[in-house]
Amino acid sequence: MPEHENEKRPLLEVKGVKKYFPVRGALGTTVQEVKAVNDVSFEMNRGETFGVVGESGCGKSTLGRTILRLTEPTAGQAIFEGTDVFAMGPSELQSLRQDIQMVFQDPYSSLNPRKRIGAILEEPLNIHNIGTPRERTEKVLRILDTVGLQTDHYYRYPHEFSGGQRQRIGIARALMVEPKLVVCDEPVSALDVSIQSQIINLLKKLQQELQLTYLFIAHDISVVRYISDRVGVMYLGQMVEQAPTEAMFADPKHPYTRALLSSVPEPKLDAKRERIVLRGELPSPLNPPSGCVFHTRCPMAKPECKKVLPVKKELSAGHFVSCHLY
Amino acid sequence: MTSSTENIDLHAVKTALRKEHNSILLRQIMSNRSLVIGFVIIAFLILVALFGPLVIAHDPNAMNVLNRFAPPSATHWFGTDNLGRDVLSRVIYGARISMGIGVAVAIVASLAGLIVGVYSSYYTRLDHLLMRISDGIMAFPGLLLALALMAALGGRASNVVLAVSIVATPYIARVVRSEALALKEQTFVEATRALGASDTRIIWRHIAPNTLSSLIVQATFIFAEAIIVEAALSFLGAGIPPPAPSWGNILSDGKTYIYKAWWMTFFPGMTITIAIIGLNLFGDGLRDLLDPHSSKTKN
Amino acid sequence: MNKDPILNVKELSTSFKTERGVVTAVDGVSFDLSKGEILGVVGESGCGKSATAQSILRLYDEKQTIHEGEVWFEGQELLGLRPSEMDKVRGNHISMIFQDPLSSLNPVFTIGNQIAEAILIHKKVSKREAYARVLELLRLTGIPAPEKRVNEYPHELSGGMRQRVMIAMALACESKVMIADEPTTALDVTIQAQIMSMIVELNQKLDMGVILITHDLGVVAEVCTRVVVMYLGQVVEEADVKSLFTRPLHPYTQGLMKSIPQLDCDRSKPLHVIEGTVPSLHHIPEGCRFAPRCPFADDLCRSKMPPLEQYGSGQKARCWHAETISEKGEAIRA
Repeated sequence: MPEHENEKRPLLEVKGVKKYFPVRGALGTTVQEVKAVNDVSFEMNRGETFGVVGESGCGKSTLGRTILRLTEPTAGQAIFEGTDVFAMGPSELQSLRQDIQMVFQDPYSSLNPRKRIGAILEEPLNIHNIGTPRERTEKVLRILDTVGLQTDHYYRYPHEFSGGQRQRIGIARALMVEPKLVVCDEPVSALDVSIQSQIINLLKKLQQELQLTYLFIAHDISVVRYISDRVGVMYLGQMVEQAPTEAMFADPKHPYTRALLSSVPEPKLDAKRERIVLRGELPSPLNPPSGCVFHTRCPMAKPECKKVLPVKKELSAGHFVSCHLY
Repeated sequence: MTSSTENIDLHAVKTALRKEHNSILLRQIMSNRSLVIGFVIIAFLILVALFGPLVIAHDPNAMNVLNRFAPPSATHWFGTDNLGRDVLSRVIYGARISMGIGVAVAIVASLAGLIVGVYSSYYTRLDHLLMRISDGIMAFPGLLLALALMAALGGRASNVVLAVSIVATPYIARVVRSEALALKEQTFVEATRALGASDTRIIWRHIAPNTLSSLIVQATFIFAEAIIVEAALSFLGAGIPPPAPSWGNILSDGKTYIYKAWWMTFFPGMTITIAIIGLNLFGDGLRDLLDPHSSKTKN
Repeated sequence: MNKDPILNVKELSTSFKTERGVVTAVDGVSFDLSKGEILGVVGESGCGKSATAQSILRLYDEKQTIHEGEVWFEGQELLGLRPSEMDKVRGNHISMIFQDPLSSLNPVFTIGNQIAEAILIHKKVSKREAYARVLELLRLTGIPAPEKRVNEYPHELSGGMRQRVMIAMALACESKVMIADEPTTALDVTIQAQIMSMIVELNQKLDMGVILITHDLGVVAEVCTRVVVMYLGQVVEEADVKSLFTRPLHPYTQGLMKSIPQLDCDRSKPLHVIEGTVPSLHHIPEGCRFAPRCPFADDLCRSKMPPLEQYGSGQKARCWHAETISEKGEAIRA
């Protein structure tokens, strides 16, 4: 693909992605399906950060893992630099691993406890046969410096590091193959507040230095707002709203987004915000509600919402909503 | 900074860190009573097995009809048996045989169990097949199965190893499999897959090494079991063919004369017991050392 | 505040005997809880906030634990009570709810059974009376259709529901004090909002004192009346919530507040960072424990431990330079 064409088109186009997990009955047949990701579409441009936010069960983590094909998609396409990731064969997928990487949530289980850091970081280079052994070691030492660790950490084991440091190692590992797109799956949720800001700053710095594109998945709305250029809100497997960050937070359109943003407790003594309290409980993804998935809890639900699936509309530049109110 | 100076720095760092890790490990080992006591017992028995035959005064097979059923004395610490053979020498030689079989079984069962365990954990259909076979083997009482196998294979030391290994492998396979299943769900395995690692690489470089601590603990218990099973097989006449002085054979010889010459059964029996206790203590101590979850303090 | 304190913690210290020596997780912590007050205990991992709560209720294995100091509740000193007497206090006069409701509930008993157990342990009532109370409690904690829920098992309920069940258990004996250890950390933000507003409602309705342990300053701002900030086993600041957010005195408190990205912060500026990491409890620094990470630390800070000083209107801080720092530094907007 000619260079100038690559510059113009989005780096990643996600179209109608679905991931259903079968629930097997007594005889091994599929009795039900957990609709974890249910028709999600969005685009990501080179160099930007697209934040995906939502509560438990919304499917955001599954979305990230499906794009990387760590779990096989049920339907849809994920077009990365013009090629559909979901249609790739084993060898194409292997080289894709050098373009799309992932940073994981749990710093305590994301590193092999029996391997030294140096070995953990060299492994990606070994797998893809990059460089000579000396070059690999040098690259590891350079990366250790880039993520704020020291040379002598090369020979230490994961348990000798704190959560924040382990997360730095996880980030370093993802960067070893010089990827273009990094999916960050809740990268700071398991860390203390004072360490979160260190890691977030690091991610931002790396993005600028290495021209990275981030898919930033998190449940902490303030963090997502801070780091993302555009944000998508997910509920029960669907992306109900997506917009540039400023627009989303200044004027959220979807009732769920509004409720979500109003529930965030803020560390200051403002006059009480009007908190939108949602009725009821999250429905089961085994049996999502008909029509608009949110209608069972929506304070503004109309009869139409129960029967008809809302269509995704663009309300203003780049601001998409799926809701019958619009 | 040139690459050669970086490499020199790293080597010094590596040595210093190795020393640090080793001293922490040494402290942990020395504070673990089971481990130390068990180790001392086993080490002693191993030394006896290896070097005992070189220092004993009597030939274990030398019969002396004039000195049958002699009780323990200064010349014969464990007395003599029904054919006038020195029981102590026989027990010492027997250590070589019985413990040798124990080690062999532990090694064979460990290798086989490791392979079965990690592959079962990774591939579901293979898992069904292998686990049903394992279940079948475990359904038989170990000793009876070993007996049956020995009857089919014939009485030779190598067959004893084979038969007892077949009986023991499923236990190791199960332990390895359950560790491996838990490990498979760990994030670092998923991360390595995301890096593009093949299944084989993940299985052998990431999953298997992390099962070794449980495996080794299990293997020490298998070692102990193997000694007992071999003794039982030989006792019943289905193990090592006599006159080889395996502990089971010595016991077998002694059973008819138990009232007349108690020392013929007592000493080999004691030795077996001490070996088992030593191995079990060592295994327990090892498990406490290697398994961080078994610590008793709540912090 | 003129309310009488119902719980007094005086110089509480808790140390554990570990393989690597004695570790002091709580070091000389003191605070009071007044009737009907919601006291926030804030800090990050390793600060000792959970250990403090568990020490008040003596939940640790006392063969491996050393307690020092005093905990006074209704004229009794709790650390000195015989275990059988302490059993009468736990769950009855002082109750506790934990972070993970799934592992805190027994999976093989129905929730009705477990709430009833909380009642029957302490009160001599018949089973029928206990179950009537169970239904009342379920209604009080906002669980719909309690008659049906009573026979359900923990795994059949959502996270938010389970936490309500835990709260119902804690209320079963009308405790005067409830200790809530990170009650909403494992819950979604929308459910968190529901649970926190329920805790506030119960606090007002039942005049029950609450010790809320959390790392989330947002929750503290919304719900607490007074706050205690902990770092590495010690109290570093204590204040009423308004003073804490308008004029935090301790550099750690200030650092925490500044490093949280707020919904209206400037996205183009890097986040404020507290340099370094929390030291391990095995390697506690000399002098002020926060000095290695403090931008204002000097030689005095690194050599001598500052005492907890009073700074007017009930605000306390453990810092040699508290006053000068807050005058120099930016005021945190209310």
